[in-house]
Amino acid sequence: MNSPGWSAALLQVIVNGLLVGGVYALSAAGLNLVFGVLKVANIAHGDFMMLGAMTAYAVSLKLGLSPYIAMLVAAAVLAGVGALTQRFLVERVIGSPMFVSLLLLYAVSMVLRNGALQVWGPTYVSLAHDSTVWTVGPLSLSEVRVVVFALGLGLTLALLWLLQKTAFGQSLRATAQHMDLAEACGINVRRVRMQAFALGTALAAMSGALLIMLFSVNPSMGEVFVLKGFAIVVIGGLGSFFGAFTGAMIIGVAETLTSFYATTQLADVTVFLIFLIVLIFRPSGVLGGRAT
Amino acid sequence: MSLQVGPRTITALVGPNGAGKTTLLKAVMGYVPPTSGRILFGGQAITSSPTHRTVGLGLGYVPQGRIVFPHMTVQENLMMGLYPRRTDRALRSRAFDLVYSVFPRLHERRWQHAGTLSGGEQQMLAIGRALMTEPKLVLVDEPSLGLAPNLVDLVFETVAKLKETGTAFLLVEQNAVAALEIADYAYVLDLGHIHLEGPAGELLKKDEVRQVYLGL
Repeated sequence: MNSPGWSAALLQVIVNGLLVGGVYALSAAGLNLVFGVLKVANIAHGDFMMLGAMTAYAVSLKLGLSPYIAMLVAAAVLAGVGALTQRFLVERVIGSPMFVSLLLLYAVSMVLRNGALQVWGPTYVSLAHDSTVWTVGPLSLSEVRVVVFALGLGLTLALLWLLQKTAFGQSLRATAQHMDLAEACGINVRRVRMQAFALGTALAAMSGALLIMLFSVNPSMGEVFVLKGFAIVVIGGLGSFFGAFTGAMIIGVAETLTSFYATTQLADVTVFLIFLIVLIFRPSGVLGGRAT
Repeated sequence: MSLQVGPRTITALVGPNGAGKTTLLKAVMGYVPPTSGRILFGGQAITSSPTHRTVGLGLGYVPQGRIVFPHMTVQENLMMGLYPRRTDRALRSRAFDLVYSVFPRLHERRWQHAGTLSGGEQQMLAIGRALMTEPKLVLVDEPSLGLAPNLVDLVFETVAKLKETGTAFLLVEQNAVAALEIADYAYVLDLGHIHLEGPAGELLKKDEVRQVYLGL
């Protein structure tokens, strides 16, 4: 087991895992944002990812657009869907006990998933395409994976910048930290909640659109991805953006390692095993759960 | 009940627990809708107007319990106070100058997270934050609650000083003596009704007020 081929393969698998982690980080950022501002666990997040993926797929195929432009279109469309969902459904249960919003979003999730199954059927779609492979030392990196990772990372950092440096971000953070005080500062918290939810679904859509450049997905993908999203957010510490980023990398690597050395079916088992271990031993997350 | 706050005055609202003092402030701010009646601010009806709009008209609010944004620095908290008029650069420098000169302590701690401040400093920050838009009227709910006696004095002296800059205050306080000493006019509230009202100095002398409400 000491041959150079063995360690090179391990390194390759780890790097592949990290590259996938960039997309997970983007999705988890959306989940975190919605939880932080609305105090709502968006269990329809995975289905918004799916809608983003499906929209990007349809737009790219029908209009012949590049997958990256299609991603932006999907983000805009899903921001609209998110804004309407928040304004007419989620806003009504703000301040209610958590289980009320959970049930509501579960219903939204069912409608989106089964609606999508009606429209597209249980078929897999993908925008994956052949791409240049770069050789860096012992590693071979496919261009599309690197670009997708860079976009995931870049968009996550852009969100962080938005939250920290703009007046809009300030209004989001203030509402997340103390809603009543935010109102006393003249912030329209109803509007902020709608903006945060729309931004959250747009982030989900972009991560879904990036995901189908690497894998194929079907209308039921939301089920697994929402759980993975929550696992990532909890592993990193609920509310912590850097934590979620770390969690995304951990999950990306764990998944790829399991798929490579065991089977793909076991990958989800590993993810949720890590999730359980973190919950038991470090319930506030690997980074200690510092809220943003 | 009918209650008025004049410009450039301190009006105190005293009375026992459960008299409805906090609820009254929340109704003015638009957090809770009043069941009946009208609320006017500078002649304009603000009954049931949403809180953010009321704030935009020039009302400041310091809620009970030294409420600050814990994960923001002192400076960021003050910036949040400026939110409705954040593009007004002249106001920004004026407001920061005022708050930092009234509370030099906040200037020393301006890069510190508000969650790590002492109780007294948090109360200073809460008041300072409400002053950032140069409001015409500030509603202050129980500023002395949970503060050490020397800090209570500091807070009340500061409110009295700020009146001179042209801000009116409506002060809800359980520490009635301290409130009446700086107030121009006062209302004694009991079980949702105005029991007594008058110039604060006169109320402070009344035997009934002293015995029943001030415990003197």
